[in-house]
Amino acid sequence: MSPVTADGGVVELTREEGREMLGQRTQRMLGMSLEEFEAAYEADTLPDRSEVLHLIMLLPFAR
Amino acid sequence: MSCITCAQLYVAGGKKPGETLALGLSEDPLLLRAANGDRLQLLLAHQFRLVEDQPSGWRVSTVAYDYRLNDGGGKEILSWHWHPAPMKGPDHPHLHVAAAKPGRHAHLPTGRVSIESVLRLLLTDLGVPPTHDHESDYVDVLDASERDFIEYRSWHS
Repeated sequence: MSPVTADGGVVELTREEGREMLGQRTQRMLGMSLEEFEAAYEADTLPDRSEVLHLIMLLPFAR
Repeated sequence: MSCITCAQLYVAGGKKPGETLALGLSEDPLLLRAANGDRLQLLLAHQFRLVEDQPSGWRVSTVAYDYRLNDGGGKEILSWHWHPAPMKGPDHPHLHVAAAKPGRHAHLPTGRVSIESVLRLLLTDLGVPPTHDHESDYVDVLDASERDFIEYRSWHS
């Protein structure tokens, strides 16, 4: 993690850190690993749940 | 965000200008407590791009957002969304009201909603206390931050 602001309130995550963060969230919210989530996203088979949009929006952390 | 929490704002790194970046909170959901004791949860996901804007340099252009307010048990109350194509759903910014008719499925049209306006709602209308560092100036901080969004946004419905 690299601080972006002097007070450390904004931090930049590397791709690896981002994948770890997002993987924890896909597991907690959907019970899926990040890899399973990405595969379902690509196959357009994600469940119709409100958490899905939230996680899709965070996908740049994993790319 | 420092007006309301000490949680960090994460930004996706390693991207080139023009690529889509994301913002998220280190605490997701962010747990909040209103002055009357009500518990609330805030979820935030925001996508943006850095766009060259000569002669001034660079500006941030919002690509999509999901700002969600849950009750303390995690049940959705309100969600402000903008997720134009290629994402599914309507292209216009909208609001979901889960707890009242017409129900969560309806996309109630809105203008583009800033993060600052959601934080202002929490602080001024829902009684969430500001952080110690911003007890006296959170209104000014939010106004100043939102001013750039208003000044540089490319469209508003």
